[in-house]
Amino acid sequence: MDWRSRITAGETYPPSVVADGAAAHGLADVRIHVLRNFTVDGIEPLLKRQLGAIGYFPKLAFGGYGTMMQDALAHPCGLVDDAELLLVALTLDELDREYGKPGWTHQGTRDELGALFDLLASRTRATIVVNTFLPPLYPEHGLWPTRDGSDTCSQVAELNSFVLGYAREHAPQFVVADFGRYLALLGADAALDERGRYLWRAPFRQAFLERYARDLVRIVRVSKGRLNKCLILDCDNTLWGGVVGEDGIGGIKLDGQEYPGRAFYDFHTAILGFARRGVILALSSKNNAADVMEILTSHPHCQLRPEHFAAMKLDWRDKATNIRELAEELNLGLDSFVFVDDNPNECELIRTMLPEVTVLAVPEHLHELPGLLHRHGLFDSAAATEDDAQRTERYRIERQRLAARSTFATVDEYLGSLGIVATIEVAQSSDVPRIAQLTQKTNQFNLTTRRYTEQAIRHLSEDNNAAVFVLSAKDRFGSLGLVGVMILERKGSTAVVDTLLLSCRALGRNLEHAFAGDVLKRMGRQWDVEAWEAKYVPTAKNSQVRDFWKNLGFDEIRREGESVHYRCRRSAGEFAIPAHVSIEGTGTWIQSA
Amino acid sequence: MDPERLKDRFFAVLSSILEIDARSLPLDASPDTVESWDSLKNMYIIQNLEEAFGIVFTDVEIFELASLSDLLGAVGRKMGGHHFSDSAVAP
Repeated sequence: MDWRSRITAGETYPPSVVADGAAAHGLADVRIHVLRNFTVDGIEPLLKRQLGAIGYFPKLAFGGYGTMMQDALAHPCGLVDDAELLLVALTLDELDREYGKPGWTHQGTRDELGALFDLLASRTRATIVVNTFLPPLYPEHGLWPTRDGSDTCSQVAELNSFVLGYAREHAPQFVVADFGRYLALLGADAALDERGRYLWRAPFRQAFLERYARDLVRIVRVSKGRLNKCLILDCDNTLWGGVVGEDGIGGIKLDGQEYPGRAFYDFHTAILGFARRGVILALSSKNNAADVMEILTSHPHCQLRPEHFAAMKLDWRDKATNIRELAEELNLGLDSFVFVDDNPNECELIRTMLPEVTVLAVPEHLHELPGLLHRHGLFDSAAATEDDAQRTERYRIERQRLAARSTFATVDEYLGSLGIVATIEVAQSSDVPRIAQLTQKTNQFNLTTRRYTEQAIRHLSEDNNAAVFVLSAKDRFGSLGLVGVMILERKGSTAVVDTLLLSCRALGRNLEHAFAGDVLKRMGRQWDVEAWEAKYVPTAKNSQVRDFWKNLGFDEIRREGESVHYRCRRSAGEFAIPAHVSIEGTGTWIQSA
Repeated sequence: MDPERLKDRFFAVLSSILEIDARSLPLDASPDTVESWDSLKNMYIIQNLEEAFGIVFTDVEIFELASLSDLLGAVGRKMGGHHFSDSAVAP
């Protein structure tokens, strides 16, 4: 048995998981390496338990005390080079021996940290977790601030703003674990251990490390592409107090100046915040549709409006059926859905029928409702891109497209009417965040499912033997945005497809054939290769593209494990562009190399 | 707490931390003689004994706690004056 988890958490961890390691239990290894200057080892059992719950097994390795720079400079250094998540766990009193002495300023430490961070960023593609520093609980200068900001609290605040600024500039590779937040959540008595700091260089109690571990789990989840994308909401007693069918539009509780109306009003505010960051909203509620629409369009305190929702299921059918249909309509996996309802029976039904869906019940105490979705970081993502803010709008346009579709006799006729224009270009630096995001999130139409950080994409696009292409698309209903990524590598006289993916919102338009065909032909010509090679790497989600290369005219040449490798001679590669797609962007693709 | 229950709990804490059957250790077992008993584990032993018994060791005690019998003796004193002789802790 893993003793630490048993003792510190009061829960048992499956003993054999510890003994046998991950694979035997269906857990995926994740390499978490730690550069540190204090005793943070107690985090290991906490990470094992929390990551185990979401299917991962942490393989931890710790650097020496205070040898971060030496660890980072060593060649080779498995600690840095092989990490998937690199934890840089530092306290200020260990970092700077002058800290706290009269006249101490933060500049020296800031420069040292900047050098360490720069070095790490250049050494690894791992996600790097840095932390903020805790100011003294009892300021040495008294209550009045010093005029020149020379007091320790002001200096620590400046150092923290350096750390936050660095992480912001280097997002999403860098992310901050905010020690100040853990302290605020727990209070000093529960968080800090002064005796431990002096005796064992272990300044933080288990409760503090547990908060730290929780954030690391959220970071692992995002870096592994395990993102929630869609929020499905019930209406009565979830979006407002009361039952509109009985209480009438005037009787429901949603007034931002009253309680409990204010709790629902603030819940709307929270939901709108998620929508702005790219979470898709949908309704599934047993109501008369007209009642709900009246509230959404004309209730004076209702912040959510019909245009905020990508889809609505307002009827009396069971919600499991409705949610399954939503998954189809929105072309999203059920495991990316979060469902909120006040009715325990509905919650239980979804938990039972659709176990992939994350189900949250409206809290018994309504004052907890506004914070419900924030607490667990369910909609974390590495970086909100501009594209995110327009996502719901795009899904709404998609619904109009679907409505238009029913008036055409054949799919081809429909596609022809859309006036689809595909723009295929070499990736620009402004595309990099969106490209990395797509590699992180795209599961269905993804031939190799390789996840990349922004930095890795930047490396690839600067490499003369690699080419990163992006696909944008629009039609008569509006723009789909940047929806496709294709990465090619030149290996001798062969061009090898490293990545080909399409966002699910672009599927069903045969854009994939136009995109792949166009890029293959262009780079085939530019690199003057004899043949193209590509592969299909199966995952639980991408079976729809199993025969993509075959359909494009490639021949299977071998199998390695689950992967299927294909090849196509350039002389044989006549990739027809579908008639309904016109291609733009041919003028901008030639690389300056 | 009666001496037998106290010893059960004491050895349970040590066994789980050191990942061996601590009752089979000699009384003079210490970080010098037990391979898995490193300084990190020593810290966990102190912290977990304090938590398990609701006691707090003083700094001086922590410095002087060198062996298994030191630890058991200190816990016994704090838990109501049990004095464990060699025979009392023999397995």
